[in-house]
Amino acid sequence: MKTRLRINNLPLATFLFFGFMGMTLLSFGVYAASDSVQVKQDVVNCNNNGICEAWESFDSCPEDCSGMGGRHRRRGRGRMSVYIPPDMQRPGIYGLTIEPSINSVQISWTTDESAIAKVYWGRTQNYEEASLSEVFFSKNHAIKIENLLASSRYFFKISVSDTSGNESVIRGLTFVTLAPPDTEAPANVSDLRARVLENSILLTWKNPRAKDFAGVRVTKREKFFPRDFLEGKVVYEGKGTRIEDREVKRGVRYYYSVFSRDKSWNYSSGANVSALLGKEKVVPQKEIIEKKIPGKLKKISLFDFDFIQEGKKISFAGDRIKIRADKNLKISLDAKKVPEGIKKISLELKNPERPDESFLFMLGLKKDKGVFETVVSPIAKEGSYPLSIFLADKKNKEIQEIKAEIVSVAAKRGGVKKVFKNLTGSLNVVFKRIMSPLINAFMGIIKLFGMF
Amino acid sequence: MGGYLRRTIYLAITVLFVGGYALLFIGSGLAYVASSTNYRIQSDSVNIGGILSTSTNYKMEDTLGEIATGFSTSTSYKLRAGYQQMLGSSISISSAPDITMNPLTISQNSSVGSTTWNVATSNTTGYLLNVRSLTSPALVDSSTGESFADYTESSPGVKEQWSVSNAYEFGFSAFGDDVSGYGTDTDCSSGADVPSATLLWEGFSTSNIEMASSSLPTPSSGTDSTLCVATEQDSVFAPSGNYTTVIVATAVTQ
Repeated sequence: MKTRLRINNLPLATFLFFGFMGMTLLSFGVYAASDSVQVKQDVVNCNNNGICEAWESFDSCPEDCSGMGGRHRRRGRGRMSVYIPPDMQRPGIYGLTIEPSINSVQISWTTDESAIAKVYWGRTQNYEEASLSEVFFSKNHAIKIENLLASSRYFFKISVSDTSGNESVIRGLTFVTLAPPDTEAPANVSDLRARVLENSILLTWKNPRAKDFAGVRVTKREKFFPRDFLEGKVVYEGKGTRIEDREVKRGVRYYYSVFSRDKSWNYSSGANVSALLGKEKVVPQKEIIEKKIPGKLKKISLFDFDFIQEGKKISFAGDRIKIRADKNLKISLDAKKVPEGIKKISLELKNPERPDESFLFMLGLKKDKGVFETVVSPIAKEGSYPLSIFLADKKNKEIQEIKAEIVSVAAKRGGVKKVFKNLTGSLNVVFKRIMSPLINAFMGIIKLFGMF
Repeated sequence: MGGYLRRTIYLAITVLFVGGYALLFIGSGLAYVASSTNYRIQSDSVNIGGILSTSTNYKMEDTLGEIATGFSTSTSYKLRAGYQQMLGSSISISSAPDITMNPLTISQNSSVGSTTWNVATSNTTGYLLNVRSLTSPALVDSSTGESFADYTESSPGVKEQWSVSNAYEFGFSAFGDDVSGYGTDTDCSSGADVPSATLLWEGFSTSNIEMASSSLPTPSSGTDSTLCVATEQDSVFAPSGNYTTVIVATAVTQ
């Protein structure tokens, strides 16, 4: 007999049965296990020799074939190209290096793909001055910008474009060019005098007031003035204003040069004086210049010289040069104008109050500027100072003398007009603040009385 | 007498299932019946009879009292109901070595590599071994973004003899006892780095592609299936670079 279960009569058993089976079936499932492997495939279709050879192309060998043009072209071994999706990636700019110098700057950087660059620059963020473009695609870039102003801030931007025309731009970059080195010679000492004592010669002078003044070097020779700070015997070195030279012989004339020096070790052209032991007097300049001889050479004139104060040339007519008494005076001569055979140029400035007293300076050759020049310290006193410029040959024989007059003028202090203007201004203030209110009050009182 | 018999039967059945359910409930309260550090047995058999028998070479567990057993399927599920059915679902796959193919150069236009998985399962209805790539296209130079095209069949999805023209492509084939449809060769190459001419090849996909299958359990030592991969540049040169891909193989019971 086949037994058949009737579910309706066994509700509890049925529930328990299916509950039991359900719990059992939940324990089963589909099982899986997995593993992964990496597949590596190197491709070396480029020999990286910098030459785009027949079998290489921009796509297979960009290292050798950068800048060869578009991405679709005939390939090596006579094969045709395939389509490559367009490059939409902008080139990245890395490792920007800026190396400014005095008048130029070197800018270098790299890109993460071959690109061609353009640099724009200017004194403002409009980059208005100019631009410079590369001519080859490369990952390494270096551009040198020249003819820049020293000690100046510049703005620049870099634009790089890859072979597909994708462009990256960096704006707002800046650099400052370096300050030029100080090559300006300091002013010479002033008021240099030689006084002959019983057994020595006493030199006195006034040092220039330059901020970077570092000291003086006093040198001497027996034949002629030391022409630069390396010539002759050093008598003194320091910041003092006098030196007594006891190493002197009677009957021998000693020629002294005093060179002032700044902190950048620039020396002045030299102030000169000479003395002969045994005579207590200031040595006039004429004693050291031999008799003037007729020059066979082309002569130069006063107008070939530049007289400069505070960086500005002084215009003059005739032989009178008007200068500020409180400023250094630079006297400069273009070396190209100096006639052949002239080896020494000196100038003598006479004291108008004592005609027998004069001050002598040498014009030193500044090879970097191509000029002979000297800087005379402020004359300080107003007056007309006779000036003689002597040109001599290598044997110190005078070839030419040029005469002129330096007119020293004190700094302007306003004058009568300024005093009157100031006085008027003061009276206006007094009137507006005091007198005007008083007058108004007085007029008001009069009106009040008039009403009554 | 008939009423007594009926009541007796009802009572016996009730006792049977109440008792069984109670035992199972106790088992569920413990969560599992045996465990080690890494594994646990969720349940063993609940029945009214059975015994573990052993001999030198065999051991046997029998059972008594189970009903509603067997294999059932639906769209989403497969059900094995009954005593120790779950024992057939165990499966394992070996860890295969990575493949480093010989470089392609201006004088070497193809390259072939291979790796082998061993799949072991005691599943009575066997297993499937699927492969897929993690990227599409599969073989990519991550530093440049350049890639090999996945092998393109003349008829999409139909495996074929290796043939690449005016392109550089990457494809795969397979051989092994449980591999079918990939040709007859038992070697990936016909020559040095030349894809086998008697294998059939296709391209990878990020979706699973069946590489091997069996409807029977494997031997306890498992069954080897070898994956062959190949590249070729024809007429055009692939950009120089280092190309890689990751192939995932999944063995699943069926």
